[in-house]
Amino acid sequence: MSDAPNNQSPSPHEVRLFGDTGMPWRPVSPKLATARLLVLSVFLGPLLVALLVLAALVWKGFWVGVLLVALALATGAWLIRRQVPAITWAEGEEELVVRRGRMFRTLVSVPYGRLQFVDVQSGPLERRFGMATVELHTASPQSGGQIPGLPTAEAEALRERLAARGESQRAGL
Amino acid sequence: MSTAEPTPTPATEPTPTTPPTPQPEWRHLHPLSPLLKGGIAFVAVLAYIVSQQADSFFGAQRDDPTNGHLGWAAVGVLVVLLGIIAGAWVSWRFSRFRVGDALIELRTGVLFRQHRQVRFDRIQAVDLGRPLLARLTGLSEVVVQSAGGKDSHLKLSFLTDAQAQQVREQLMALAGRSDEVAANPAAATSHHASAAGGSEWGGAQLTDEDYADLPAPPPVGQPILAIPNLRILQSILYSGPGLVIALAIPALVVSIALGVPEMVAWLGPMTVAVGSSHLKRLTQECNFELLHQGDRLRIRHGLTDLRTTTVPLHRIQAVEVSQSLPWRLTGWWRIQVNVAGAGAGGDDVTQTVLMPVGNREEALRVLTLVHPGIPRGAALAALEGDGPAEGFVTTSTRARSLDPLSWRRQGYAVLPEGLLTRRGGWYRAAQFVPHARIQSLKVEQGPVQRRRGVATVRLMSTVGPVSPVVAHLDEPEAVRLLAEQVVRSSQARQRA
Repeated sequence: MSDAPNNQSPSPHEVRLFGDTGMPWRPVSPKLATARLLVLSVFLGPLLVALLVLAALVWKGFWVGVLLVALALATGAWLIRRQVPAITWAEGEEELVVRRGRMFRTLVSVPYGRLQFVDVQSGPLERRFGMATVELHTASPQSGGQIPGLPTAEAEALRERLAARGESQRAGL
Repeated sequence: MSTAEPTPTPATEPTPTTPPTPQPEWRHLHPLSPLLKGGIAFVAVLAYIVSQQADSFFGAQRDDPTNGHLGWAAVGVLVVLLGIIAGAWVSWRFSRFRVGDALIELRTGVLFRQHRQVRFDRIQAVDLGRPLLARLTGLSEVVVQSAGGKDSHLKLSFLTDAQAQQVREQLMALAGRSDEVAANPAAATSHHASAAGGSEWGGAQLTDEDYADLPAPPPVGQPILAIPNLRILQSILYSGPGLVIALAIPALVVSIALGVPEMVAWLGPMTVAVGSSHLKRLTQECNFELLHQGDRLRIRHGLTDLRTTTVPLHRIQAVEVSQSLPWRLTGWWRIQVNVAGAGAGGDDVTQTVLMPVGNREEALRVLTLVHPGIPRGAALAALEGDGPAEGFVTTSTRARSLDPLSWRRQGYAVLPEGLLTRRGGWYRAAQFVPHARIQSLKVEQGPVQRRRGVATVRLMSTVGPVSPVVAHLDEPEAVRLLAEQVVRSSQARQRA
């Protein structure tokens, strides 16, 4: 049977749910945090300013709104600062593994042979920071992994490698 | 049958250098089909006219909506009708299909032309459907499902029953073969024999003349299940909502009889809401039959809309056997499967049901049919057992408080061919996914789980009702499952 010989083999690239041991984990670009902070402040910043003006000129009750928005901004910024470094990925012999989340951790392992296609997306903001998002698609829509914020060159290289590996290990549905 | 065939047609032996075989003719759908497709509108117009006529017949001139211009109104209606018929005729003229060497093609549309083609090796299942109106006129539709998602079906609606059956047979024979040839050249010869044996028309390119008036082929295949309608009705009643309906309808009748409007006001809508969904399930699951023929399963079901779905066995991605709490009393089980492409749309949920209700023996029979590699002991343990028997790895005592009822049961077992998972203390369910069919693996861990040192492993399959998951495994166990499963899946894929 296929599984018998592999039961005890101590793999050098062990998958770990957390920590830096085992597989060669790679972080995503720290600029992703900057980009996300920028998006956050573009959404909440004008609101904060508007509320500030209203509170100063119209009615003091708006200070509650100011406080709430400021709190949301601070929480969002803290979350982004924590979450972005938690996104790590690694290429194994058989699979690509993406980990994310600190509070609620998830780990997705996508075998190369199961990849249907790979998307490399890059919006205007991401392009400005020289990043791209690599999205892995399998035959199951929920199962694909996503690696946001890869430096463009690295994303392209990854796509090439994945294409080559998918070709050599391809299987039908 | 295959020995009786004098020479195989060119399509039966695909060679790398495709010889210039004459392309098969484009064929038209049945002339009535546009009218059936727009059936409701047509019937509505007709019914309106008839009702108007009926009024004037009985001499009722109370409210003539045309204010005396009956003649003009009649002309108007006639023009509209002619317009509908002309439009229908044009759309019929322009929709054509053909079954070629490697793909089936359908062209539709006049202004916005659409040309859809499905390669045989991408066909996941072929459906035969007979909605009520089509059934009255002796027509059927053929739905070719590919794995492209919700809108990727190729629908031939409508053909005569005999034609539809034959197109289905032809497609299934071709689909099965080209898939196997691509996947495994060594097994192709034996498979080809079985495919040709299953169908006299395997690979033949039929033209309209061949169809002429052939009788519909008899229902081939070995019957596996035939569920009596009474049991389907019972099975639906033996559920929480079913019980509610069973109580609500007498209560409703009584409250109407006694004249309690407040009672009717809230009981009525509730009954209708719960009842309609269950009525839909009832009409879909009535007359349920499961047939096994060679390498495929044939599911027949439906009260008004009779559907026959043909699923190649090797296209089944995952299977689930489940039992709700009320069914524990009767010992009934339900079997659902994931087939790529099916069940992606909202309306074809029942295509994924292999057994709407059945006892344990029937469930085991269907299960071993779908996956012969599941030993009986393991299957029984998955259905009703708990603890580490039969190689099951279960939730540890550490996560006991997270699953007070089901911690003993939920777990997984590794079989040579696939992964068997089970869960649920009250609502029992067991899933089986072949190693090669696991799309990807996902491990999740929330804050509470982290404190307990456990994690949940999800096995991702294609879209469908089956989503196998092993909740609250010990963290090292989860990591071990992940690491080993990657290797097992990869080896299984290479063997396939």
